[in-house]
Amino acid sequence: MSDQTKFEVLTDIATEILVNELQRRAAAKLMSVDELIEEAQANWEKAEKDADDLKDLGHADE
Amino acid sequence: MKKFISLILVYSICLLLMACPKETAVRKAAKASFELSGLTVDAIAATAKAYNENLIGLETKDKIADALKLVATGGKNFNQALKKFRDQSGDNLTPDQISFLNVIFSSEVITPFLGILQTLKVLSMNGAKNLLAAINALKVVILLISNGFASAGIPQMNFREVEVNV
Repeated sequence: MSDQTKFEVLTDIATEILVNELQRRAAAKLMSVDELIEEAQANWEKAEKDADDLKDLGHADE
Repeated sequence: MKKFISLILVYSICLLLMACPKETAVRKAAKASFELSGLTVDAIAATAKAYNENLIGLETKDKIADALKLVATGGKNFNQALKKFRDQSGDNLTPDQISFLNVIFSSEVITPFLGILQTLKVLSMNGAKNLLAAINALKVVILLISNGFASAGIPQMNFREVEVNV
């Protein structure tokens, strides 16, 4: 993969993260404290599971 | 021109300081937990994509995965403590409760995040120069979120130190 392609992929990733972050900040303004805590809990649990899946990635043959 | 830029900077800082003046500490902490949890989910997806596109190797991917798992577990603990304290104290957390949240946040969330920043630093030093812009964008997001927690008065973290390490 060329450096230019790598740059484009990384830029896409960074842009997606930034856009999601802005959307989250906008959504958070409209949510109650209980909703924020509840949504955060669901996100943290998903993050735990996704991190396990990420660790397994590429180790299937081992 | 310099005066104009200074004026803009001062105005921006004032806006930041005045933003949401009525928000309670518990709301700021809940908002920061929500935002950081979302970012963590995004960071995991981004790392998987970077690995699948051969931008990072297996070892780097595994290091980031380990750190993100720690962040996720620490963040879950932080959020559960926050929920418990809110149930007990409503919108007015006690100094002891804030202190407890400080400890969890600093040791279980920020520390593994710093590990990721260190990995990214190594990656940027070894990688091609034109990858730096995208990597730096990721660092900026992480620092923004971290500072969001700081402005909530939750962690007693020296973010200047973090920036130096990045």
